Formats: sequence, structure tokens, C-alpha cells
Amino acid sequence: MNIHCPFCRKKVPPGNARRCRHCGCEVAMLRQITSAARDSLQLGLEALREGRDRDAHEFAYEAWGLRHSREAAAIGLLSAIGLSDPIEIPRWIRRRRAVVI
Amino acid sequence: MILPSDSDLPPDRNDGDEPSEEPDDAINWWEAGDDDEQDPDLAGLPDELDDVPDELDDPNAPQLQSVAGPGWRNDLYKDLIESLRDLEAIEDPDDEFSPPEPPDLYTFFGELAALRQDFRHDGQRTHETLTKLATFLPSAPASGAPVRRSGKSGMSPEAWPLETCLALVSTWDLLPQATAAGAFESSLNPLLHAAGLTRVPTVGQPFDPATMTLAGTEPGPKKSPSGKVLREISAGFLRAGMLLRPASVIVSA
Repeated sequence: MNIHCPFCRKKVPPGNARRCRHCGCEVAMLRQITSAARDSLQLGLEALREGRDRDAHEFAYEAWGLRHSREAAAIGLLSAIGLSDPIEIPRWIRRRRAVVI
Repeated sequence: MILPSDSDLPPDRNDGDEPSEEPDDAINWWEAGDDDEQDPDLAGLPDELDDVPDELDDPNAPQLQSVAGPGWRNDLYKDLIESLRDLEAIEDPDDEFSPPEPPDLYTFFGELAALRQDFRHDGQRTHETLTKLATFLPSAPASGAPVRRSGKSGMSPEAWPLETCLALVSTWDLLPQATAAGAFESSLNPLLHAAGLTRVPTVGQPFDPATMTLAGTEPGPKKSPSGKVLREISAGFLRAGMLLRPASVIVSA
């Protein structure tokens, strides 16, 4: 998941820089949030592979709350299908469509 | 498999002079051409027609019979309509039902960081503006002569309060014009001087828009230049060097 500076919209290169090199906006917190969302996605994928749909769904929710992404929506949709949840399935479909690529 | 029609007679391979009415047994119609070739009249038909079972084409085949009782169509139609009417109490959703999704933490902190950066830029701009102002202010009084004429700052400590000065000017205006230049003027002048007020010199002076207002023009005496103040309608006053009230004058045309 790429990080773009919220002020100047330029792409922030991966690394440990705390500020955007173009405008000086602080991006360290965004980097931490993205990292946490990536961890949740990884855990959700593992849970999905092991058949723990309930856990996968919770991890997808966690990742979605940290950062909206198509990956989180995909894991959420797959786990909701695995749970046969008629409410969550259309929700995840909507969320997936709402994510701006 | 494409079944032949009556018009699909096998081509006559006998190129001889006498056409034969019966096809040659040795050359059958299905051997007439390539297997992939298709009659142009049948080219538009789908291939699925070939898979139609022969039983449906047979008029003597047994018909489908319902296992329900008589009038089952009407009963089904009636139940369907009643079921739809039962759902009329439920309101139709909007065109696309999409409840608001709360923002994620990434967006929230992104907005916060952008706002902070915006404040930072504003602070820098304010600092630069104040720095420029601080460098400009020391040199400002050097060019303050026009400001002192119309401004309200830089008062002389000797000047009386503004309200007192205005009262003195009003008193001057109340004097009869005939006597203003006479006895009363001589008695009021020391008071005006003590209050820091000085009259704007007008009569005989060139018109100065900084201290005078034009009340009108009149033809002046012969050989006199135009723009000279002929007479004064109301006196103008300076208070500690600053204009308190402009003089209203008549100027020669």
C-alpha cells in the first residue's frame, strides 16, 4: 500500500522518513497506520487459509478501520461468504466498490 | 448434424449429357461435399437445433400433465398478488442504498496532518509579514507628513482634548460674521492658540485641497490668477499641526 502525502499529494517513498520530502508534512503516523493495517491483512489471510472465517472477518474489519483498501474488502467479503452472513456480504461488496484505487 | 430438406437434393455428379432422375447409389447426398460446408439457407440457425430430441417433434408423444388440482394457475396468481400486496407497507429504498461509512484512521490522521501543515504555512507567512512590517515601521515617520495632516496619531502634548477643540470651533462658528473679525476674534485667538488650534490661512492663498474644500467659484478681479481663494465661507483649523476641519472657500475662476 502506497502512502501519499496528505498535503501535497506526492507519493512518499518507502523508508523511515518522518516528513514528506516535498512539503515537510508529517507522515510518520500514516506510515504506522499503514503498517498496522498490513499486519491485520496478513493475519486475516492466514485465518482465511486455515478456515477460521470468524477471525478472518474480524481482522478484515480491523484492517478496514485502519485504512480502507481493496485487500481488506476482499478478505472481508470472502470471510463473510464463508460465514454465510447475508448482511455482511453486501456491505463488503459496497465497501469494495467505494475504495478509490 | 444437419438434416437435408427436399431442396437439398444431392448434387448430380453425372456430368453427362443425360441427366439421371434417380441419384446414383454410389454417390449419396451426404457425400456430396465437405462435412464442414453448410447450406447457406441454414447458416443462421444455431447448432443447438441439432440437439433437439426427436420426442418433442413427435405429435404422438405423451403431453406433460400437472400434478396439482384444477385451477392451480389461478390459485398461484392469486397467492402471488396477495403476497405482493402484503409487502406494500415496506418502503422502497433509494436508487442506491449506501449508508455512510465512517472514515478510516488513515484518512483521519491524513486530514489532521494536512491541517497542521496548513497552519504551519500560515504561521510562516504571518512571521514573514510581521518581519517585513518591523523593517518598514522605523522608516514610516519619515514620510509621515501627509499622514499627520489627516491622521489622528502623533498628537502634540500641548494640544487640548479633541472635544474641547471642537467646542471652540463651534463657538467660533456661532460668532456673527460681521463681528468675527473684530472684537470677538481678538478675544478668542489667545484661547485658540492655547488650545493648539491655528486657523488655516485662506484668503489670498492658492487653493489647497489638503486643507480646503471648494464651496464655489466666482470671477475674480482683473489680472488676478485663477485658483486664488477670494473669501472664506467657514474657517478651517489645524490642531497641533494636523487638520481638524478644512476651510470652505470661494475660489476665483
